[in-house]
Parts: sequence; structure tokens; C-alpha cells
Amino acid sequence: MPTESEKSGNNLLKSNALSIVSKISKLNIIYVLGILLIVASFLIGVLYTKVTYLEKNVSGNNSSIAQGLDPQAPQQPTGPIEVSVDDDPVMGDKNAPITMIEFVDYECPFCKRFFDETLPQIKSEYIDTGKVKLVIRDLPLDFHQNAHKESQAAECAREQGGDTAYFKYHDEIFKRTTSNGTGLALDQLSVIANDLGLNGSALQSCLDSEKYKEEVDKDLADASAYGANGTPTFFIGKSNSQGKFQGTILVGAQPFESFKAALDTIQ
Amino acid sequence: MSKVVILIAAINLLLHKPAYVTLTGILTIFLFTFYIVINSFSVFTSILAITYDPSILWKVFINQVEMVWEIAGPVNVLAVVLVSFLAGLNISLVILKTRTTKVFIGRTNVFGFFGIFGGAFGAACSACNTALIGLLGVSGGLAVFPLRGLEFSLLALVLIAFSLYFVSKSMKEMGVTK
Repeated sequence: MPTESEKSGNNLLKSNALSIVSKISKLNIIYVLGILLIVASFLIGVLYTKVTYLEKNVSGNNSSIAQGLDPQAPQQPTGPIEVSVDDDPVMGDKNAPITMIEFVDYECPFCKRFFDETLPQIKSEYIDTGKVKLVIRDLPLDFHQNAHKESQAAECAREQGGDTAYFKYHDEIFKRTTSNGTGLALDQLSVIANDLGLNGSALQSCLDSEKYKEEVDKDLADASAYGANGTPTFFIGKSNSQGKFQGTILVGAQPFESFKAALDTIQ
Repeated sequence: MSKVVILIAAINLLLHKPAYVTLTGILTIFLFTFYIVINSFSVFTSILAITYDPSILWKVFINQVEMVWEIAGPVNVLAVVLVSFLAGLNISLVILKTRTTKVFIGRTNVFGFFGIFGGAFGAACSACNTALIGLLGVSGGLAVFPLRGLEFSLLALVLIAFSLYFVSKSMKEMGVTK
């Protein structure tokens, strides 16, 4: 049985509760309007960013914008799916039992981080020992302005000196770019070629002719079909003589231990 | 100034209740983890399809935080930590108030609710992707925003600040704090 003082306390609490309900029902209109104003400003800012972004891409006539904005693009696969190495450059022994495809965007800071932090370890423990071959395929995202041209430039370098030249060029782009779309000026693409002992003017002509645009776009289409919607995205699986294999997806610049787990599972 | 005093009184009350201090700490850690994981969802789902090894998952998590720190900037990570702490504090105060008064007034918690979920987008993605296209209408996710997602954290902070004030105010009005 509650005592008199408990009863009076409860009554006081109830009366306070009723009073607050009544006060809150008349919430200070200025606060509410202030918050609505902040939220509205924010939403207008998001809309403005979106419009500016779309205008920039439309005027830039970026061929990959449709891929980037395709709402029907397949979702990330949940299990192994058939992927192809196509005719893309290979690092390591071409007959290695395991294949790892990297879909790369040369202006993606996370691809750069993978190149800086994880690839050297994978190279020394798996690629240089003949266990794994790495195939680079292109996924230049539409919001990284120079990425498509950089992918084409790497293909042009490959034309001059095969996969060895490709990977030297690949490494040099990542060493020089500061990422995020325009981290490397396009006029530097021929300079890199000269610095690597390739023919810079021939590379520039190759780039201007857009000879490898279709090749890069094919990689983009394949990436989309495989459900790779970001970079870097990896597909890892047992090599196949036809160049197609069942690949398990690994997304992002993950630490070496993640790759080790994926590669050791297949071995 | 009185608004700050009301808020301090509520926080002071909470600080004298060890269970609620612990709850705030747990919620802060939980929300920080949630914010990081939700922004790197595809990264975690892909590694979980390969291994459940907790030491690898922990390394992936730390790697994600390091990447956001390095690429989006330390301010982004610190903003996410702050949003996580204030959201945790907010939830603890709402529970404390509700348990003390037995009255739950949903409307005062609306701002906190939006703040907590707004904070989920504050952590920059740790892969370049098109995942936020459906939500924001642009591919590239937070990379296309001038402050790389800090905008969401700031909005979340404002909403949580309002929520904290309203909860503290109702605690005072209901006699929970002096």
C-alpha cells in the first residue's frame, strides 16, 4: 500500500507529466521553424550539389555516366560468379593456378591505397612465387573526370611495350596521382611515357585517337554485369584455360589478411 | 545560458548513475561501429562471404577507419565519434527520463531519431562506389559533396543538440532534474 507521501509524490509527477505534455504540444514554434530551416537548407544544398554534378558530367560528355547512373545495374553477387579475364594485362605467371582480377579506377584513392599498402605484400607472397596472377581490368567511375583517359593511356603504353610497359605505367600513375578525379593532369600522361622510356608523342596520338576507348568501355560493361559497382573490386578464383572462371568477389582496399584468407581458401 | 544549465543538470544527473554512464559508453561504441560498417557495407559483406575470423574482421574494421581518416580527413572521423557519443548520450537520457517518469513523449525524441540516422551518412565511404545512388541521386556517394560527408555529420549534430536540449528541458519540467 502506498503511503500518503508516495501518493502525493505520484500525483505531483502525474501533474508535471500532464503539464509537459501540454507544453510540448505547443512546442516553441521558433525552434521548430529553425530546425525546419536547417533541414531545408541542407536538402537544397544536396539538390544543388546533385544538379551541379550532373551538369558537369553532361557537359563533359562522359561516356560512362550511363553506367554509373543505371538503376538496373546488377547488385553485388553473394557467391562466386563466372568472370572473364578478357584480353587484359597480366602480372605474374600466366599459368598460375589462381587468378585475381582487379577492377581499377586510376583516380580512386582507395585503389591508390591498395597499390601502396597491400599489393606489394600480395606480389611478394603470391604473384612472384607463381601462385597467383593478377589481371587488371578498368572501371573508371564517371565522377572521376580523368580516370577514363588514364585507363586508355595505360592501354596505349601496353601497345608499345606489352604487359611489362603496362604495369610500369600503371605503377607510375598511382605514384604520381593525388586521386579524386583530377589528381593527375592529362598533359602528364605523355610525360610519364617519356620518363619510362616509351614514346610520349606516340602515346599522345594513341590517346587522341581514342583507340582504346571501346576496350575500356567493354571492361566497364563487364564490371557492371558482374555486379561490381565500386573500386577497387576483386574477383578471385581458380584459373581456367578459357580465361573464364568462378570468381569470389572482394570489395574495397582491404588489408592483406583479407586477400590471404581468400587466396588460401582456394589453394 | 539557462539552456546550457538545463543540459548540464541532466548530464550531471546521468553521470551520477554508473549504469547510465556504462550504457552511454556501450551505445557510443555500438553507434560508431554501426556508422563505419553501414558506410562500407559491401566491404564487410564481401569479406564475411569468405571468412568469419574475428581477427580478420577486426583488421578490416580498423583498416576502414584508417582509410576514412587518411582519405576523407581526421575531421570526418572525429565528427563521427562526436555524433556517436552525443547520440548515445541522447538515448541514455531518454531512457533515464522515461524510466523515472514512466512517461514517453515521442515528439521530443523526433530530432534525436533523425540525428542518429543522419549521422549514419556522416562517415565517408571507404570504397569509391555508386552505392548511395538510390538515396542521394548521385553516384560517387559522399565523394561528390564538398566536405565529403561532413555535411551529414554537422546536420546530425544540430539535430541531436536540439534533441538533447528538449529531453533535458522536459526532465527539468517533470522534476527529474532541478
